[in-house]
Amino acid sequence: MNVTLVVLTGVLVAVGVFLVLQRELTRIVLGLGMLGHAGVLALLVADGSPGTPPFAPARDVADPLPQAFALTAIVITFAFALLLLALAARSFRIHGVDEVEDDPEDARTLAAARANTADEADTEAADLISELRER
Amino acid sequence: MRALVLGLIGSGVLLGALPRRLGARAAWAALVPFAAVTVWAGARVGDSGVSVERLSWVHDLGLDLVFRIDGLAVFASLLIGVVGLAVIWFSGGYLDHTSRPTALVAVMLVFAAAMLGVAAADNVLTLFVFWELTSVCSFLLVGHEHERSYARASARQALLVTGLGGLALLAGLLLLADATGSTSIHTIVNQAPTGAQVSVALVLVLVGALSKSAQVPFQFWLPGAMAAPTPVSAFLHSATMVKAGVLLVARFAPAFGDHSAWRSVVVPIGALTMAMGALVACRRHDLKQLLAYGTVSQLGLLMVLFGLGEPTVTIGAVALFGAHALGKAALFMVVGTIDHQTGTRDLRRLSGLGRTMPGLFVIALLAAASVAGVPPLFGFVAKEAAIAALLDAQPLVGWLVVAGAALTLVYTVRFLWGAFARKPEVEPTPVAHRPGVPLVAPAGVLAGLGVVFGIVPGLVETLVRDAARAVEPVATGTLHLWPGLGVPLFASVGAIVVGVVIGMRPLRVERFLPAWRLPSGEAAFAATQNGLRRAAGWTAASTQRGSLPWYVGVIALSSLVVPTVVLVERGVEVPELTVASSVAQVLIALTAAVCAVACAITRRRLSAAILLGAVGANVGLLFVVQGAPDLALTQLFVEAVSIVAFVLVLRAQPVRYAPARRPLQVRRALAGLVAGAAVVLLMLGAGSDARPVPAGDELVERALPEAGGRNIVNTIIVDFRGFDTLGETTVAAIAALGAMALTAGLTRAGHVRRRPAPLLDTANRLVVPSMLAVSLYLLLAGHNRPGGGFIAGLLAGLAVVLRFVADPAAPPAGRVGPRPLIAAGLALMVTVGVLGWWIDGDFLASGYTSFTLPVFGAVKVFSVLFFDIGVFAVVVGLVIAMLESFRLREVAQ
Repeated sequence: MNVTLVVLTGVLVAVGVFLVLQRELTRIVLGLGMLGHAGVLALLVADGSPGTPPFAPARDVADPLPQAFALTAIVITFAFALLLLALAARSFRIHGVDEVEDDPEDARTLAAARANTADEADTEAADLISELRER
Repeated sequence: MRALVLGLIGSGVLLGALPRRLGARAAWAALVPFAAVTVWAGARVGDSGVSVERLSWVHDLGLDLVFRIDGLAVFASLLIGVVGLAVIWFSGGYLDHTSRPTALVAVMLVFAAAMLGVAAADNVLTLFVFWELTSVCSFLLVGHEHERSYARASARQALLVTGLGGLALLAGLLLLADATGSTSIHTIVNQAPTGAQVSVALVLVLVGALSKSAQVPFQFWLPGAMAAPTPVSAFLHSATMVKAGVLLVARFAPAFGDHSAWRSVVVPIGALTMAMGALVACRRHDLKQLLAYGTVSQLGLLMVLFGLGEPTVTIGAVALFGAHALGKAALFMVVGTIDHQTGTRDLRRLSGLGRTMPGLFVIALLAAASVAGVPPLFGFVAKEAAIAALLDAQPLVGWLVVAGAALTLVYTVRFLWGAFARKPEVEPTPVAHRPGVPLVAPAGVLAGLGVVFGIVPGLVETLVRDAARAVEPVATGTLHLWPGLGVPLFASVGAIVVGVVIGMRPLRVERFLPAWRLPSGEAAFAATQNGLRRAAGWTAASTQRGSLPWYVGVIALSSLVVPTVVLVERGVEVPELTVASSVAQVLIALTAAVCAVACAITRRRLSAAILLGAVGANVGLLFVVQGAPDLALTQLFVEAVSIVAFVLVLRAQPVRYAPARRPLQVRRALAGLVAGAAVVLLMLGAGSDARPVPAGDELVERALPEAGGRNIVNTIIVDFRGFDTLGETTVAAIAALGAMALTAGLTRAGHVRRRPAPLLDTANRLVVPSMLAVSLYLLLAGHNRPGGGFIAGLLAGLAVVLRFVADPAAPPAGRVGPRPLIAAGLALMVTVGVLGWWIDGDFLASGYTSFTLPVFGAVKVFSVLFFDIGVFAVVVGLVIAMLESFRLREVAQ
């Protein structure tokens, strides 16, 4: 197994994860692109030792199957990156910032859980029913 | 039965689809399906045979819809049909003030289907499905006026109580099915297994039945369910759904009545519910609440009668079941009419209605008297039969029931007094106008049936006896209006006299009764619900922090670290390692690593994008070293197009990223390092499992003879794994369309026409056609030489990009739009696949044809070439879609 390629894959994953953890959407896209490169490299490692290009009839060719996987993976990663870029472009155009804000719904859940307001709403409803029954 | 169930559901769906403005009277369309149910069941009366219908569903799991149409099913179906007809008739008049009346009636139709299913289900899973379906329909109906918070709360409570009961029922039924080895209820009851497992199962089944039929301690949901519009209360919460538990008990009691787990639960609870329900009813002021507690009490009585499993009692119990359904439905409709005409159901505000609405009073009197068991009405005949048999078989329980009958009279008199009497201290209630026929007649018909069946019980005797014998083959007894002088008659008459005498003083009864509450599970229910809510809130608060980086970090690390830990625990067998295959490889890898790290560190947006491209280019070079020319070409072309995309998006944004807090970045870097290390370990671990033979060797052998291509990678893509490629191309197509949809409408295309860049434009006249020619060659030759649809498509796309760069305001590909191109490409690929299927019997099977052309000589044309052309079209479309998406932004600036 080729140590150089394995280590390079590790480096690309490290950089990719670091970028994906950022707040800026475009950096997240960059990070995913980096992870895509890492994935293709991993397939290359699976390809084994280098050989002559796989054209028939030939001997000692490089394993063609991981290559076919890698080829489609490259195109998919590209298409995926385009979609995310469109998302980033849209977000920037509408909000004027290239950042992922905290999810407001989650923030509300957090606040509600801290304040126990969910309980109060429920108690109120229960009171209403028992009032109905006591008529 | 199958046809009825499906027909009811279908007509419910149709009715629900009717336009709203048709109003309440459109509800009368539902009379047709209910008439069908009535006719179907009516035609089976007297037919003592049993038929089984089966509707295969998930047969291998024992999950079939099996209906066993016996006497009890026919009896219940007839009740559903008749009460349903009356209720629908009533609804057409009553619902004129209710929002979405047709939707309400539509759900009632679906409910009726579910109820038929419960009545006739033989398979335990069938029973469970329909049982829960009635709960769901009840939820929708109780919560029909969902603008009101108490309607929502009541609906939820009813659903949770009956739904949880349904789960207990399922568990019980499955245990019983396990004990007998059969999912047929008929078989389970016939075998009547015993043992500890069966005891547990019976208690669980009873939890389901008791919760559905609103028995202590589950009774609290039923009065709450009175938030439903009155037709719903009349249909579900008096006549049908709440009787599901009784039906179930009726089916099981003959087999398990002697079982201690059964007897020690069902009879005491039934008796307690009977007594307490009646007492609470004596203190209610809302007429509907009074009736609801009356129903709870009557259901308790039915539980006792059926639960004993005494053969002699069954006929009386079945008759009482019917009498109560007819009478109670009528009473609910009477209350509905009072509410509709006066705007109140509070007996403290009603006075003199007996004089202003005499017809309604007579109907209410007859219906109430029948429910209370007063001669000469059907309820009397039924109760008399039951009491006579019970006093004989179980005297203690019998006298308890007699006492219960007296209590029934007390609250029945209270009801009639409260609704119709002239109360000196209350102003006579004004009645706007006389109620219309649909508000009175349906209740009148049901009350009239009570009179007719009371005077001539022979009319229903066959129906009742067949129903009783369906569960208790040795059921004996007859229905008589005149039972003959004897203890039972004296007991009944005594109960009636005592009940009426006490009931005539409703206010004193009310004062005398302490403010008892039924022992109720509601507090436990509320505590459980609040506890769950608090736990859920706590869980959400401690995990849902709202921060995307946090979520992504957790996902990334757990998806990498968890398998790594497992791998290390099992021991990594380090594979044979080589440092590198060549010096070039080391140099290229080093460059890539440096570029990657720089990409992470730089604060300039464009630099970061270009560094990412540099990493990609170096990866492409690694492919060259590896001996993978197709990959290298693809990678380099993709990087070129990507850079353009990034530039188009990023130039609208600030040059630099805002600085992030240092500790945060350190943590993120640490997460990255852990992830990278995990991947290295995982790859080493995976490598230790390497098979000695490369996976593709077989394909190398097969490529030329089978796929007719020398480029093995290409044959894999378009032939051996063509289906895979079709899927991946589809993903690319969706991404392209998605990108266009996301950016559509962001800016209006006010075309700012600029002159094309002169030098580039001129160069393009030469370069673009050459690129397209090379692209065409790569496409056609790709099966044998480096190339193929993906690569050719990317190159053609690059040609379009060049044109765009020279003249950004012009449409990048002339009149060729990305959407038609993508659609045509996918269509071509699918067509090739379907043709292969048609000709060769396999989707995407390949073939070729050869012919001779004058100049080119012998030509072989492979079907996969057209597949590859499809790929080509989609990829070109993808690039054009990218330009179209981001070009709009160009125009706006």
